[in-house]
Amino acid sequence: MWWGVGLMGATVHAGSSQIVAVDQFSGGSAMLAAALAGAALNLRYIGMIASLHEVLGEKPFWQRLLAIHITSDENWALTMSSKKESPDIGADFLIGSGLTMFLVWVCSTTLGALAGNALPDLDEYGLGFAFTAAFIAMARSMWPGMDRLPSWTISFAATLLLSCQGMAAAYAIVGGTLCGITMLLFERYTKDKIS
Amino acid sequence: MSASHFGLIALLSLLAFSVRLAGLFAGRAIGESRLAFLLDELPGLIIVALVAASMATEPGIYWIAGGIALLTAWKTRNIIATMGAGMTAHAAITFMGA
Repeated sequence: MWWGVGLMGATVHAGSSQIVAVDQFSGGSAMLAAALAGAALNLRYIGMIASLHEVLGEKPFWQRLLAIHITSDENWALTMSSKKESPDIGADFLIGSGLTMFLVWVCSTTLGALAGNALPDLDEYGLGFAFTAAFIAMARSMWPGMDRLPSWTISFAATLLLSCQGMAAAYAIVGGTLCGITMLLFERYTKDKIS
Repeated sequence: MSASHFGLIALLSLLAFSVRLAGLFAGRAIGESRLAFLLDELPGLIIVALVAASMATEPGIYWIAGGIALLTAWKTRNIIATMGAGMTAHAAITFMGA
């Protein structure tokens, strides 16, 4: 049922989790196992949502719940990079961009389910690269300076290595970020020790 | 749609939201600890990981277009210009290679 895709997109709102859960479930996995496999792909959101601590500030609890549900990779990255340029950007920007992305996500996945295989592979037209380019631009906005080069390099290289070893991208992102954090803590520890 | 399909959607949405909720509480706990500085560092580390994951298994065309996008981003600090330059480069290289 095409509307089931829209329902799932609206309630779960996590593309890779949805794909994996459906894939596992249709392959004969138990419902709980399929759901756990899907949800585990979302673990990077612990770090992403945690970093929104200051952005969400003192917003009412229901608005914080709404904000974390509609947060996606794209509007989170856009909010954090825009905040770097304009510190007054906050929860309203996150929620506004989140709602926009959420509507686009639900409508486009529903339309995709309706259209089925009638659509060509849009990746062939370079559309898939649009997100990569956007993330590169946002990373540039967030660039804090040369003193963060080691931790950023470690995060990038570790994610690359893990992905190339066949690890699912979602896990590689978590692993790479943790390596970057470890590098940062190591740098801080050695700096404190010297001073 | 069968009851089991609805069950999967309900269970997955509950688990996926729980992960996000864990992030909300983790942010609060970390923000009040001596590791609060990490909350400022996390976005940059995650976003470079997102870039790496999106490029890892892609062919050379992607990396060339990525380099052009990076140069554009470095010079302009503009998302639209970076996306435009990157996608144009990707399309042009694909077209020339076809």
